[in-house]
Parts: sequence; C-alpha cells; structure tokens
Amino acid sequence: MSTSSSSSKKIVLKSADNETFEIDEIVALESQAIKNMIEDECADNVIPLGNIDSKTLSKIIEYCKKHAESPKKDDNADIDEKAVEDLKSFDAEFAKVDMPLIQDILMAANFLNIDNLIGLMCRTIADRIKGKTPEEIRKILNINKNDLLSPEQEAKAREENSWAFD
Amino acid sequence: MEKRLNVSIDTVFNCVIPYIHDGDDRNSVSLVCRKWCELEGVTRKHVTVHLFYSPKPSRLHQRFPLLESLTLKGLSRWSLKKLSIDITPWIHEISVSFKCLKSLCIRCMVVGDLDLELLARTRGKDLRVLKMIYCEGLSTDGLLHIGKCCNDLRTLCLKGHWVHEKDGKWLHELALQNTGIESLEFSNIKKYDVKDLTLLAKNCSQSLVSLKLCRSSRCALIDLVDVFRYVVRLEDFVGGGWDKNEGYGGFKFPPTIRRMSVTNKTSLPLVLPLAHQLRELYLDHLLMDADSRCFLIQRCPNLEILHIGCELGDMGLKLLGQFCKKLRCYKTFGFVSHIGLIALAQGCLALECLHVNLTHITIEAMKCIGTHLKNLHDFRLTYKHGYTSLPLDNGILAVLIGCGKLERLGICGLTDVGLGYIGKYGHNLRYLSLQYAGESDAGLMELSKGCPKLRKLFIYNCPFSKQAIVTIVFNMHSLRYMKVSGITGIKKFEMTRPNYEPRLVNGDA
Repeated sequence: MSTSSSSSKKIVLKSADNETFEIDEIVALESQAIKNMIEDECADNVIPLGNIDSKTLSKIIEYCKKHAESPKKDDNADIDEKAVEDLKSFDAEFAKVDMPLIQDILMAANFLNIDNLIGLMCRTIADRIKGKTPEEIRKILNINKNDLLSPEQEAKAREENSWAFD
Repeated sequence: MEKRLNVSIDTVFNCVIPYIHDGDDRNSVSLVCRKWCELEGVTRKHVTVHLFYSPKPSRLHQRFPLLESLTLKGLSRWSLKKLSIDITPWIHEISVSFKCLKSLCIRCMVVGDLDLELLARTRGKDLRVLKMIYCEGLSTDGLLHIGKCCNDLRTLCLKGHWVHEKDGKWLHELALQNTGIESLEFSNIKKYDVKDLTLLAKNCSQSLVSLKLCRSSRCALIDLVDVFRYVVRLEDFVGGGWDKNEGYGGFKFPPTIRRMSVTNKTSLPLVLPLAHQLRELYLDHLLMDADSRCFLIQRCPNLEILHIGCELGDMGLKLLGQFCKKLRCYKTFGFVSHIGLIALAQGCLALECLHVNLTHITIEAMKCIGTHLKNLHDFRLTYKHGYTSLPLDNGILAVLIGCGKLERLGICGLTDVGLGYIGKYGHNLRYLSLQYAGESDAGLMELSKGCPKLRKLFIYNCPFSKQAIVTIVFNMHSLRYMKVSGITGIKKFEMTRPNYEPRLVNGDA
C-alpha cells in the first residue's frame, strides 16, 4: 500500500458501538496515532477504536475536519488573520458541551494523540474549575466520593493552604 | 465500570493539571480527593512558604517533593522579629531533599554565611535563580561561596539589605565562574572592584540584560565605560555615581536600554536620545532641578514605571498625564496637591500602582481616581502633616467603589464612617495601612466586619483601645499580621498567628 496521502484516499474508523465513519485520510492524519498506523502500514482496512463511542468519535471527526481544512501556521507565514480567527471561534463553539462529553473527548484525544484537541479540552476544564471550591470541583467533574481525604488530612491541607503555602 | 471511571478521571487530571497555574486554584484542587492531593503535590513546581505559619521543612518536601522554585518568606519587611524564625533547618532540607530546585527566593529573613555555604555547596551547581530580598545577617564571605559554587546562574539579586562588607572577592569569583548571567542586582553593596564587574560583563556579554548597582556607589558612571561596551543586550541599568569633573565625551549607554536611573542634570544629554524608548525610570536624587525632571518626562512617551524620590510638583504630574499615557506605576516621596493628582488620574488611565504624598487634598480629587483608574490595585496616600483637616470618607468611598481591583491601600484622615466604608467595600483588600484614621473603637469594629481577604494591617496614631485591637484579630480570620504604634497605652507591637492563634510577638504594651 502506498503511504503517500492523496485527498481522495479514505480511512474507515469504527467506534466501540460498531458504527463506522469513512473520512478523508488528510482528516485522519490530524491524529498522530493514526498517522503512525498509516505510516507503519497497519491501516489497510478498518481501524477499530474499541474505547471511543460514536458520539465522541463524531465530535472528534468534526474537529479534525475543521482543523485539516484550515491553513497550517507553519505552511504559510502570512495566512490571513481571518482564518486564524475563524478557527479560534470554531474551537470556542466546539468546547461548549457538557462536562462528561468534554472528558470523553479528552480521553479519546489523548488516546489518538491529537495535541491541539488535548490542549483545547484541558484549557476548557481548567477554565471551568478556576476560582471554584473543592466541593464545586468535585461536583463539576463528578469525582468518586470513595477517595476523599480523611477529615484530619483535609483539615491539615486546608490549614497549610490558607496559611503557609501559596 | 467504577474502576474504568477512576482511571479515566486520573487521566483527565494528569492532562489538565499542567494548565492550572494559579496557586489558589491548585490549593483547591489539592483538596478534591486523596489521589488529586497526591498528583497535585508531585506536579507543583513553585511554592511560596510563609515561614511564620509553616509546619516543618520535612512536611514541605513530603507534600511537594519535586519543587523547582521556592520562595521562603519571613513575617514582614518592617517586622521587629526577623530573628524569631530560623532559616537553617530550611536550608538543610533544601540541601538534602529538593534535588530539582532551580530557583530560590528568600525574603525578610536572617540568612547567615554558613547557610549560604551549605546552600552553595549542595545546590549551587543547579541553582539558576537566587534572590535574597530584605534579608540580613550575611557578609561577603557568604557571598564568596555563592560566587565559587554557583556556576550556571541566570539571576542573582541581593536587594534592600545590609551586608557586612569585608571585600569584593565574591564578585571576582562570580565573574570567573559564570557566563550566562541575565540579571544581577546588588543594590546595597558598595565595596567591589570595577575590574571584576567588567570581567563579569565580558563573560556574560551576550546574556546580561539587567544590571542594578548601588545608586550611591563611589563607582562613577565613567568607570563603567568598558562594562557598557561589553553588554550588548543590556536593557536595565540602575546605579553609577556621576562625577562632574570627568569628561563624558566618549560615554554611551547601550542602545537597548529600557529602564534606568537618572541621578544628575549633567547626565541628561546622554539620557535624552534614549528617552523615547524608556519603560522605567528612577529619579531619586536631588542633584536635578524640577525643570530638568519635567523636561525629561515630556520626552518619555513609553514610560510605564516611575520612581521618584524628589519633588516633581503638580506641573510634573500634569506633564505625566499629558505625555506618559502608558504609565502603570507612580511612586514618589515628593509632595504634590489635588491639582496634580486630578491631572494624573485623568491622563494616565492605565495606572495600577499610585503612591502619593500630599500637601492638599479634596474629595473631588479622590472621586476622580475612582472614576478613571479602573486598574488601580495599590494606592497609598500620605499627608504632609500626617492628617487632614477634611475627613476623606466620601473620597475613600469613591475609590473603593470605583477601583474594584484594589488590594493594597494606605490612607489617613478618615472618621469612623470612612472605616466602615473600608469594611463594607474593601472586598479585595489584602494589605491596609491606617494613619490618623477613625474616632473610636466603633469605627475599627465596623471595619473588622468586612475585608474578608485582609492579611496585613498596620495602625499608626489612631485612637483605638488595646482591647479593640485584640478583638479584631480574633474577628478577622484572614488576618495574619498586624503592627500597631502610637496608640494610647501601647508604644509599639506586632501580632501574628503562629498555630493560628493570635499572639503578641513583640512590644511593650
């Protein structure tokens, strides 16, 4: 199989719930992990993604399509600012989803190794927990209550935080 | 399923934690759950430790084992009790445990030569940044260890403290061992050989960006000709006396200069060609008349920070408002009046820090500050005779309501009503200094009901009882340090909360 990418070449991804997505190779290459598979010639048929459901995968494809279509910064030093702004506002809209989906996207982006998307999701989560109390953060991220600090540990850390360590 | 969920939230956290930089946010995150407390601890790169309230050094290492940058803070620059905290156990812990440490800043502490020797011997090779600010107790012998062992320094800052000066060997060693110093400041050390400074400039010619020397040094600017020839990237320069008898024909400041001190009228011809590019200016000697200062200011359109230790006058403030639109910080010891203050507030809308000494003030002028200076976070107003005949209550109300970002405030001339306003509207205040303020304990009590973030409180010459002062320490839970003087029945004392209980640390109450 040839490893050169042409715009017509297609890649098929299969989600955990067995839905298939046919996408242009150039879109798939946004994922470093898939890119490696293609380069190692292990991507002949369908790429199964057993830990990503179809809802998450379709969001990720939406993101990769947009980013693959946009001119890359290093390709062209003077890409017009409108394209940059356009991508920025796409990212901002893209991140307006609920927290469970953001976490699923982050997990999947981490698995697929899509740097920009990991950054976007992390910034989104960091922004949402900014200025919040520990209780609020637990609620926002739905943290398992089995692993809470003991009251003594919490009191100690709280004291240290408010008095000693900034 | 439960397990998968836990694994995923850990992955999420591992990804997100590098994006959380703010210390308060990190502190909140550390309390979310056990695992996060652990992960937050091992990923924390910088911590500021307030030593007076801190548990043992070993606890710091246990919680944050991989720190790269550490600030150790004593009580206060004005504290009478620097001696009460021993830094040696901390230096020991750093020397044994913090193997990743690259940056250390020590503030308001007693640091001995032996401490510096241990630090230099064990961590010297790795230290990139060493700052000691408002510290005391060390001599040039201690600095010699730094000079010998720290061979990859980027920043060395010795600021605002008294050093026992035996000789200048330390600078010689520092110059020999280092080739990458970017920032060097020793603003209180006078005894050094300019040849060593020249050697340092030669060895660090490509890296040195900031050089701050003692301003009252005997070393004249003309002696630094060779230094300036080497340091091609220098942007900051403070120091260098000015010898009138020398010819300055061949002298030139580096063209890259952005921040500098100007000490003498005769230096103006050298400074003027650079004035348009200056961002920061120190004008704090009396060897320059007001006209020369005003002449210079008009030619500095990019000035952001101005420290001025002498008179600038209302005319000067008008010129600042007119020509220096980017001014963010203005600190002065010279006197001005409400007229200059209004002109400054109307012209310099970017001001974040404003320290003024006044001969006259009006409520109007303070309202003008509240209306225009939306970014103000540090405002100190002192008055020529200590107190004003006019209560500034409505003025401070306008400032507090208008300047929502205000964190540091120094004020005089308030009645109990004004103190109540501070309590009610000082939501973000962390530092407050009161002088000739209030009429009775009731005012102080009103103040203590608010200001939820107040950490430091200074009270000078106010008519409060000792009982009221002790009571507010209990009432204000965020308050960690208070200094009082000029109160009936109390000469001078400081209070703080080691172990979270108020305690008198010094005084003769």
